[in-house]
Amino acid sequence: MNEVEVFVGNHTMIDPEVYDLWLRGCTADEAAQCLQKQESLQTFQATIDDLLSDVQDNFRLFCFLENMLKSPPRLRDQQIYQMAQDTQTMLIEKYYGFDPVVVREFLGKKLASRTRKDLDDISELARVPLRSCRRQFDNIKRVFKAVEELKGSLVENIQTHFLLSEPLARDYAAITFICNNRFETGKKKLSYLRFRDFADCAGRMITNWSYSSVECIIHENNDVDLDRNFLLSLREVKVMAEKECLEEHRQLMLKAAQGFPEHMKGHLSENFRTLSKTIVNIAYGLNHNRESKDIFIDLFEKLIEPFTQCQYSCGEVQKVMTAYKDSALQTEFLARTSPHLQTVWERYMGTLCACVVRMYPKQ
Amino acid sequence: MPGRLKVKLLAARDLPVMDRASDSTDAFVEVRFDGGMCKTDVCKKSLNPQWNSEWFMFEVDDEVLQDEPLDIRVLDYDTYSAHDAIGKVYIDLTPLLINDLPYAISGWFPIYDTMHGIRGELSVYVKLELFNDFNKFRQSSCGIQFFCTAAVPSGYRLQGVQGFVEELVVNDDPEYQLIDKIRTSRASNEARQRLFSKLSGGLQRKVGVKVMEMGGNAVLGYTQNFDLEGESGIVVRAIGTAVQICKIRLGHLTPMGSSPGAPKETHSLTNTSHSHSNHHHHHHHNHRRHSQSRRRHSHQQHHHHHHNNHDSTTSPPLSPVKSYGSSPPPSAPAVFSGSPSRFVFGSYEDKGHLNRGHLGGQSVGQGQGHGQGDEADNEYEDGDNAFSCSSPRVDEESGMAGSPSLVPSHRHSVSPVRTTGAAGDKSGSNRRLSDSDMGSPQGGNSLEDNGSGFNLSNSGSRHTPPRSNLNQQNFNLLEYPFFTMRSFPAGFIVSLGSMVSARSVKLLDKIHNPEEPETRDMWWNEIRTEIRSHARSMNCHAVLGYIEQTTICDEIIILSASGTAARIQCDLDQCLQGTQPPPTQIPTGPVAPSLEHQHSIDHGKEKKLTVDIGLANQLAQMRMNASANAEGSEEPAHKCSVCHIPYRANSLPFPVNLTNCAMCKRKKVPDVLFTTIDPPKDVPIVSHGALIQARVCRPKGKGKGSETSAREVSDSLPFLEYEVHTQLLYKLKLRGLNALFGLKIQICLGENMIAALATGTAVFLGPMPAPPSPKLSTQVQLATQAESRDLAELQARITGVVQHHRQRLNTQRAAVIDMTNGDSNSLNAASDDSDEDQSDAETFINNKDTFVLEIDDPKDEILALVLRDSTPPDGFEVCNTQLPPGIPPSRIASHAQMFTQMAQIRYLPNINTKLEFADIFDMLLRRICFKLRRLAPCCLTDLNFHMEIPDEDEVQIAVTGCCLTLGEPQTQNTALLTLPSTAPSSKRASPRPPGTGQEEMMFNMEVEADKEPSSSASVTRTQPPSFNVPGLRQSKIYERRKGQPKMPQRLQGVELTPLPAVIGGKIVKYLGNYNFFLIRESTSVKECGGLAGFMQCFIGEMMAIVRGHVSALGGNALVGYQMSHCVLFSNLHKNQAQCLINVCGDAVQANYDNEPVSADPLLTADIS
Repeated sequence: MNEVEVFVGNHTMIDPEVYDLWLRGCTADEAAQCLQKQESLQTFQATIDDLLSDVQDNFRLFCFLENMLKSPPRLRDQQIYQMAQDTQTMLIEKYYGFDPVVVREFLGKKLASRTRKDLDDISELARVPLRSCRRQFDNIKRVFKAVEELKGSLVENIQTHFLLSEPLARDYAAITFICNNRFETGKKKLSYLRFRDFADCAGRMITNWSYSSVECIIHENNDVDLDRNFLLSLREVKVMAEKECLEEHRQLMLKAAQGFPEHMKGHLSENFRTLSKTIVNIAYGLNHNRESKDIFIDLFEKLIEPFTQCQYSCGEVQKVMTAYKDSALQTEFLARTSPHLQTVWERYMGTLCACVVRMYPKQ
Repeated sequence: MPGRLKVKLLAARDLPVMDRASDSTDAFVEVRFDGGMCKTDVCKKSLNPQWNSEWFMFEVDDEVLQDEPLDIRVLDYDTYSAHDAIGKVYIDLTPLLINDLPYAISGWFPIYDTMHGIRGELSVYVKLELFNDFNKFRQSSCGIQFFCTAAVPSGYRLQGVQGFVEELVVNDDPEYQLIDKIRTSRASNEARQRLFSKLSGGLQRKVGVKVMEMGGNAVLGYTQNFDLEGESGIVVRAIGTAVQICKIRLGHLTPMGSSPGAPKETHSLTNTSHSHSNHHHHHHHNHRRHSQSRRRHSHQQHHHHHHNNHDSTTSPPLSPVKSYGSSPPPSAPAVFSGSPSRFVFGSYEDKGHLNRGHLGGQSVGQGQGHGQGDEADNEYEDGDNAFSCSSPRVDEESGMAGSPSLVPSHRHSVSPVRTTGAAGDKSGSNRRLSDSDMGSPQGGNSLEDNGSGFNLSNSGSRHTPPRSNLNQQNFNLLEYPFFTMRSFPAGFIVSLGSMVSARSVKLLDKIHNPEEPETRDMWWNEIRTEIRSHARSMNCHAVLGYIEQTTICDEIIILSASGTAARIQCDLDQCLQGTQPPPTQIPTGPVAPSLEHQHSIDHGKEKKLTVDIGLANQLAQMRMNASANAEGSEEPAHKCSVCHIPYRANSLPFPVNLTNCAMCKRKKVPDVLFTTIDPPKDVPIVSHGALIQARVCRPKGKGKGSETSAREVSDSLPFLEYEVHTQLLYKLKLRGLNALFGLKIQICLGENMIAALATGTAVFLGPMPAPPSPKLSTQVQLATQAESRDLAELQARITGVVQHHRQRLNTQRAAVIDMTNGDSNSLNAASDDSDEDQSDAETFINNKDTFVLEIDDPKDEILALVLRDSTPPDGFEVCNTQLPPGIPPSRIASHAQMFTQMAQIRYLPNINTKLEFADIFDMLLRRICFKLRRLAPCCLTDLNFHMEIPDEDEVQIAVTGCCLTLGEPQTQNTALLTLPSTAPSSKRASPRPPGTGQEEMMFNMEVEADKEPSSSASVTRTQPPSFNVPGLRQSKIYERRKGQPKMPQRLQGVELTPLPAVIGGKIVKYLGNYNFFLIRESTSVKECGGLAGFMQCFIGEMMAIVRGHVSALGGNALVGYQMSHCVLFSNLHKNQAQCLINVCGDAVQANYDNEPVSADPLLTADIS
């Protein structure tokens, strides 16, 4: 009955429940109906219209805030909405929060307007309202655009520009990293992997393979990209796939595998060459965009699948991979010929092991 | 005092993108002041430009500083075409002129554009260097501090009261100028805002000048109102109370504080007294120099300026009224002031006699006044500076000395003001000045002037401020003894009369000659005179809580004024020491001889049956205080004298039931008291407060000529007021309460309706009798079975409602106490038989304790409305006084929120039968509570309703208020249950300050509306289990709440509050008052979220601007916040909307207990 009915407080107070409903993309009516179930209106002699009016006030406020939320420092510095620091943090954190299911679908995709148009599929698939999907997509794209060209630590950049908490900033860093390197995650074979898995892997890659890794000397570039020096050095590791080196490595490996169960030992001695070649090829391939973007598929097809076929448990895979990594360090090549490659090997293999273990199907 | 204004522009942030191509902005800033203009460099391609400009200097006169705001524009540089405006910042410079503050303003100001709202922020640093050029005759009034706060500001002490000050200026409204047809909306809005700001500054300055001449150093309860009269222009009115205050210093305890406590006003007065004439003021200088000698002659010289009652002593008693009532001045086209729209709102007899304030007392008052003036003058010449004669003597003497021999019309004191206007204001913005001379020229003021002049010639400077500017005889001389404050120091109020109000309907016309337009002044003079006469008829010499309001529709304007007639303690010495004032003697002069019962609306003829509410459950009259106890050792916590009638029992100004005071048993008290002020601190309140509203809307014919229409309005006003009054009274009685505080009645005129809204806080005053509980009885034959059944139902409902309210508001306690005293008024327990007892009706009517509701049938509208009245939900207290009555301050935990609610509602009187007018307000209140549900238990205080009817079928209501969270009440259930049995009887009987502990029953249990008509007292006794029910419900709410994160005690940032103080903190410094008039327009309403989005955004922005200005002054709170204007015009077909908001308040720096004393940001700011 009222055309206008607004309520404005000197202190902007946010009702987290209503905010959640708004973020989920509910309309005011839907939200009111939702809230009605949770809250007894009778206590306040209130009607559903009163609740709706309250929700509308909140929703309008969120719409105004949304502009500022797009660049959180603005929200922090603004004076229009006087609110507590915690409230601001909550607003930002929730606004940049996402559904892993939804974001899983964006991973590795080009964040173009075409993808945005296809969001309704994702929305249906993930059972998340389209509005919310759009927000998540836009957030990721915004973060991506903002930090793409920046120098320095990806996580720190995201934190300064979006005032996110560290865990959330890490997630965004992982998303940005995967998207920037266009790592393929959408293949059907990879569909069992959750967002967390990718985020974890990407996080390790950022720490160890990108420009922000401890080993990297030049920090001029952004750690959205892989450390080029590291990649170049990785090319030298190719030697590891050469015959003599391979054999030496195999011996060392088998020695290290003494305590392993029988079926593993047998499998290893048979398949060591394939395993080693695969690992070295992946390393070599990281230099080329075309191949590097398939890293997750390669890891799955060439390492994880063979392991699963032999019914390795996750722990066993870890043991094998660690043994492989460690024994390589004792080879003539790494130990004496090119000791400078030891760190490179550590950087590469440590991350690779972790990724494989992380991606390894857990049944 | 000329000065040098220095402005430095540091930076801006968050600017909008003005150049789409580069996604950036090339911003620069123009600073204008007093005709001068400076620019910064252009900061290319940045949304966060840093200019760090040099100091821009403006050499200015302080007069201009007061009148004009600093005008800063942020623009986007454009090489080829005109620069695009980004927005503006207006900075009011008056706070810089207040002494003893750092002369600087610095901070981030929101950049505001009337079309786009806030567009970024600008960092500005403003400094003022004043030269020590004291000029007594200057036009400026720096040094006078203005307070919107309607109370003595905290940390200050009242030293003297100079009296009522007012001023008004008239101007063309830029919106209605010819040029407006060709300029953009933005230009037009900006022209308006600038003009409003200028007018407001100028007005304040002029008020300040008046105050200075009166010898005051501050204005309290200062309010400005903008009357947008449309074609005929803008009228800006200001009223306030000129006072002398000084800061309370530690270790300084003498109440009068002659020298040590008052260096401040000494200073300001020194300013006044040193003369250093500059050419502008030469004229006045001369004038003043001869003032001593001209004093006696000035009366004649200026006589033609008087439209007031100076000659009233010589003319017949009724002459002042007659002079305007019967012969309208030529400039007023049609004056309906003779219309019967004048009332004394008092404790009417329930039968609804409306009486007109009789006018006889006025002349007497005048006579006294002059006589006292005479005496006072003599006293002065004796060199007695103290004026401390006690009131009895004054009264006595004034009674005799009513001779017209010396009419002390010290006109000289106003004349500088007038001359300013005549000499042509330098600013040129004001077409004219108010030449009304209320208050200022007379009595105490002129004496005050006299004093300063005298001292000037002798010593050149004064170090001893006048001790008490206000004493009885001076005070009686004040032309308008009005006080715009709402709360007063303890002991100030001797006795409360009743609410007085006056209205008149006028026709607007173009003010043809702005230099001599006496119309508006005269209109207000009439109103004020009437108010005064009403007060005098009640034998009251003062009007407290005085406000003036207008409502305009087309060419009709209704002017209203209201206040509370009271007798006050004029000698501040006494009231500050808190000693018992000498019993105010009731003068023996002729008082209130004639009573006109103008509108005794006779229901008798149409009456079918009478519902007699009352008696059956009559509670014994409350004996709060066994008089023995009061006189005994226990210090009386409260004074009952405030409630005693100021008039004489044998000549009542209006019909009222008198009883002996329940506390002292000696004096008479009325049965009902309506006032416009906050409850005095020392008045014994024994209940919680309850917000009571009367809402009336009547259709009004349209399309008639202005005159016909005006007459119609004028004729319907009395009926409207009668209905308002009836509603208030019914609601009050149904709640079992007997006094109404903070009553504000707003009449609003629309195209096709006229509405009235009265809001007040009802309480139970201990000394006054408890209203009887309602009980039905029929007087006439019941026609049908159905009718009698209806009647019975109604009876049950009424009883239920009464029970409900009583329990909620804690009046139960009073009843219990009463019962234990087991006194006099026997319970009329015969609840059942009174139904048949028809003959009783006669007796009831004559019985003073009867509450008779006369209705035509059981479906009586008013009664139905009253019964439907909603109550706030559990955990909420709602009132419109500044602090919740009946709740100890210690329970108030924090100031959680200040809110503004604005609603526009489609409403057509008569047509829209589904929506009752009253429902609108119930809905608004309900929603406010609902929206603040997370803060419960809390208390909504200082609720202020502002209604507008901008369109035919549109009612707009803006509500402001603040929400105070309350601490947990003491374990309620046990407290309640133990109360009747364990509390020692002396304790119960004594008038304790409400809520000193366990008796507190904040959430008084909602007993399931008790249908059976049992006495409320018996409810307490016989139904203890029912208390548990709500208790459980309560705890459930608390549990739910505990799940939520606990709110921090104090929120960060700038606090805005309508209250005069900062909850949980202490005001360290008053930094100046601010008055903002903002206009916001949009041509893309849909895009910004519809009208609601537009309004929500604008209100938010308005608050942000206010906060920005407060913090730039180094403040962290704005107290006395008021929204006096809020109107929205919209045309959704054109996607357009425009909104005007006017807010004001006092910027303060407050320290909170839990925070270290913050260093002054202005001192620490490291700039340049």
